[in-house]
Amino acid sequence: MQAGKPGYRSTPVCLYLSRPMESDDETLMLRYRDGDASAFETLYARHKGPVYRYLLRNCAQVEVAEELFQETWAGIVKARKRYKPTARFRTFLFTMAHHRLVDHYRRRRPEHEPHDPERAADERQAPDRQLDRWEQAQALRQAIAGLPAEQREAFLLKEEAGLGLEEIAAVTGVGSETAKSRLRYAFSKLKRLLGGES
Amino acid sequence: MSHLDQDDRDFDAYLQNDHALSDLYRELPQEHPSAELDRRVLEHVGETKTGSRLRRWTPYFGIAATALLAIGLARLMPPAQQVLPTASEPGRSESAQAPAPAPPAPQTAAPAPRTQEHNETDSVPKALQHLNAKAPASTYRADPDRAAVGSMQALESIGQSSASGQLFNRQDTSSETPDELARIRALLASNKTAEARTALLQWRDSHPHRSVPPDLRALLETPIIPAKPAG
Repeated sequence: MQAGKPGYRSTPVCLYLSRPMESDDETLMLRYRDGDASAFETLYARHKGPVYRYLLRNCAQVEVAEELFQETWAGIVKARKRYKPTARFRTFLFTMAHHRLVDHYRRRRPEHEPHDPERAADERQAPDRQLDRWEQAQALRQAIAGLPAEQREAFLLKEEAGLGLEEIAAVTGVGSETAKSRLRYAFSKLKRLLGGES
Repeated sequence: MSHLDQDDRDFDAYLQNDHALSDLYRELPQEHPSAELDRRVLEHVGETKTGSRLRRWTPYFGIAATALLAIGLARLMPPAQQVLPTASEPGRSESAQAPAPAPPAPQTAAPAPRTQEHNETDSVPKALQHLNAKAPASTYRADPDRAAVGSMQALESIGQSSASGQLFNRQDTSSETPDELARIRALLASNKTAEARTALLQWRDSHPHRSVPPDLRALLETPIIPAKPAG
């Protein structure tokens, strides 16, 4: 695991627990619920990147992502009074973002069908083309964009939000087996696109 | 079968964040919300915070306003309802319980109660003292006859320099005149005509501005018959 990488995995759990002076998300949210605005600023600074990328890579439009991003945090602000730390704050936050995303999908059907990721991968895997690491990352981004929405969301919740299967199921409102199935399909497709790299 | 096993192993490794796919994903460009977007989100929080702070302070503002209103009303109330009796001032408890703002003063002990009342006036806030002073003044102005004559003794005991003191004394001394006349009438009723006449003459001399009551005028016209010496 490399340091300084996106998402939450850049802070290993062992390091996270070894810093008792740093309030956890749930404590910060409770403090914000009780009127401490600085706690919200800390939460926002901690989670804004993953939430933004989750939305951006799901909807693939900056303007829409910004709008949904704003609505997500406004939802957190609005729901702070009824917040109870029964689950991780991250689950609470991404559930809010998921709902905004679903609302967006309902309001507006996709203008174009997502392109076939396997076909796109075949094009990029032409023998006369040697992909370097950066190009591989770009190919991955396009492949993610080409995944079916449910699989893409499961993948992004895993990668950006750092959620486990149970939490992905809770956020998306499906059973854990369904969530696992979606994630597995996404994983298999992306792995194949990248040439079976393991 | 081995291919499926390999897939399962890869997927398990992926779930444990131990797969090249996750590493490659982390190499994607890290998009962040713009500074403008940050500002909009945090501004929204600030607005909500201001609103909630106002809502939080609303009950306290209400309590403070109620308290101010109560204090204002209490200051406008008559002093008799404000001064509570205390154990160290037994004399004040009786006067404090008197309901009327201008009760008639005791007729026999003119100076002392007035002085005591004056002290009570000093104990109430200045804003209320004018209310205290107005009640007796208007009462005495309503009886101009009694205001004509004052008792020098009462004036000396209270203080001649005070105009309001004179008003108080007028009431107290004028109240002596009916007693004196009643005593004269009592003498007359007990056939002590000479004594009654002498007392009436003295009363007339000491009250030059007052007219003799009609029922006693005949007494002044009655000739005095000297008593015959015995034997």
